Amino acid sequence: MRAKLALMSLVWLAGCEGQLSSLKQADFTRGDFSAALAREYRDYADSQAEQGQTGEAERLAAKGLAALSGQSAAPDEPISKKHAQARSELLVLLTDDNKQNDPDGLARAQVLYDCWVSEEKRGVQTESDACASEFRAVVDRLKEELG
Amino acid sequence: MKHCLAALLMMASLSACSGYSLQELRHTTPSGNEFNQTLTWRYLDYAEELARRYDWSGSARFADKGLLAAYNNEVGPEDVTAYVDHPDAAIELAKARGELLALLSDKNINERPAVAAEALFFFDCWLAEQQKPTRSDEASACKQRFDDRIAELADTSFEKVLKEQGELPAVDTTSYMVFFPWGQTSISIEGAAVIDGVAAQLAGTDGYEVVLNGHSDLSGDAKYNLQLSKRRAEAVKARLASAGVKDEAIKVFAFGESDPLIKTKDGVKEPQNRRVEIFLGE
Repeated sequence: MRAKLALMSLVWLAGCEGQLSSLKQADFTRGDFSAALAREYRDYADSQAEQGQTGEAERLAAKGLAALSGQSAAPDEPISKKHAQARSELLVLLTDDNKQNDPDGLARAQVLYDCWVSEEKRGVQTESDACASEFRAVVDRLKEELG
Repeated sequence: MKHCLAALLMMASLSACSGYSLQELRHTTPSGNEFNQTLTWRYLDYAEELARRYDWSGSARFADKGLLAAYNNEVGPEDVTAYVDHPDAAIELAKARGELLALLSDKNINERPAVAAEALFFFDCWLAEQQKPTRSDEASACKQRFDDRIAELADTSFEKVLKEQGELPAVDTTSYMVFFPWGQTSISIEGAAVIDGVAAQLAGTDGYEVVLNGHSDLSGDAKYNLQLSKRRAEAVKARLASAGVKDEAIKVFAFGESDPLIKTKDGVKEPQNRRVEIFLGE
């Protein structure tokens, strides 16, 4: 109950002072998939903010806050066939069992997928390629380890 | 030679895509000496850390350096001007870089390879982290580790051993470096800071000697480069003199492209070779 109240206050605070700064104050020590996902969104949002992409940083931070409060924070919608295939692969892996067995790996894969889509939308090819290749490496490892 | 060519070809193909250098480095076994092996592992860890933070350009930059080290190529510290805008930070970092280069002698690299490699790595880490306002703790940690390694290297330096054996005078003999843009003799902000620091160190003292050794990189005509290296040393002399260092105490030498800090093929533009070394002694 106390945790829920804390999360609600975080969401409330986000309305006042920005999603990213609220997410940065959050507690990620829970160790479950939601916390891991929120932490990954925080790191990616942080990198976007450093590059001056404040709108995108806020959008990503909002996804992190949503994940922390138990709301839906699904991978972004695909913008091409290759992204749609990748998203399908990711969704197949995002089972409750897998989330419990490797929360960090799955959270990393989801945010790398979002990173790939986001950078490609902006036309930043080197970043998009980096996210795509890291996504592939993580997903291949997860498939091997989680089956 | 074969290794170098293979490494260069590989680097050229990798640089087109930032994500791939890190993935290549993960699967590369370093083939070089202990100095380069230590550098490889350090750069790999750091490139992983930066990728984890979604800093792809930083990750690629240090993964590339890790690959160079893994294939036993020469790797030098990052260029301060690429990271620093604020003059105060530039002064401190430029001085530290000069000190590092002076201590990365063949002797130190052979006798203390891990310490020398870590001094180089932690300088890069400090430089990269200090430019991000939210990472001041990490920058301080890298700086502290850099300072520790530098102290360790200086403590066992050739000069100290000679001093202890009475073969060198017990004065504070120190060296600094000033670097130059390609083809130029003008002194940068950080170069000026180093020179002014030397002048401040000498202020109020007597009986000193300042030796300036001018150098160029290996791009362009050798005779022209000899003149260029002399003009660089003269430019440093002029700045020292204007800062109060006695003109008659300054000796200028020009080496052109004959004594590069980083060994390269002829024709290569290497920033670390375009330098004036400043040696202080009695």
